[in-house]
Amino acid sequence: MPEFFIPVAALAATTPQEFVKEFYEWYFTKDYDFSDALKQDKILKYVDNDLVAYLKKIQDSHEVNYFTQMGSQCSGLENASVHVGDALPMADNVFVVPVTVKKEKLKNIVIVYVQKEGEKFKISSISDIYSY
Amino acid sequence: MKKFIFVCMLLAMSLPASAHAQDDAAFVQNFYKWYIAASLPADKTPAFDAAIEKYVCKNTAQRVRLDYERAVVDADYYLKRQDVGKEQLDNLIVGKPLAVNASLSLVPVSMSEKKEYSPDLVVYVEKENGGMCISKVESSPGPNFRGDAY
Repeated sequence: MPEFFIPVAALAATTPQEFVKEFYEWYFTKDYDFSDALKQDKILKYVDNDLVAYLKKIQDSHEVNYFTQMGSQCSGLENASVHVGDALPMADNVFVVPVTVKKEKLKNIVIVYVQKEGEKFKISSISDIYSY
Repeated sequence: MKKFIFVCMLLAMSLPASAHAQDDAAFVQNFYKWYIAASLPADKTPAFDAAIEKYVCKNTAQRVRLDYERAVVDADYYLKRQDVGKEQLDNLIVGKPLAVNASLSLVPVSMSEKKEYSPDLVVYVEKENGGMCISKVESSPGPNFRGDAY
């Protein structure tokens, strides 16, 4: 069986939308709850280091899963469908990407802020769509 | 002829969306022109002016006023800056909105000192019953967190 060399760069997401979709597909395939997700080494591939450190600090005092903006105990989103909208380009290589998560009767929209540094993307912030 | 009719249909289908996008941007532009001008006198805090509810959703306007009264913020909520000057008015540029769905769009706003389009504010505009209002303002460098509930 021949083995083919696939450069890592060829596998990396090239747009903020691809990157965000990859993150949520990973997240929902594993069906992590909030605290489990924060323990995974791979979270640092997707989420800004300082943000992960801060989320670890506040995880016990918050009832909302920052990544889904749903209840932190809300599970059962395994293999939920992830629809990614267009990206809004902002200053300093930040992109704002709306994401719709759906599974059966559950539906939620989050607004994901993605920072591009060199060829890599990292999630720097996530918001719900509700008023302040 | 068929091709011409098809093109006309496509144009007609695209008109409401682009007209709507233009409305959102103009609405946000008008808000910031009013808000910054009203902030310039040293003794004025337009967050407490009843006229703000012409632009900002009532719940949001109330919440911001509560934050100010409790002194739990260290920057202007709508500008994400501590100091407000005429230069923000001069440098104001509102970009093309992004529709999240039929009732929400995100509008990028720039007030860069470099006098170029460099947006760092994301303005959430809600639409309902033919009207619109600003429901939230976030900073794009982030991170943004929902505050404690009152």
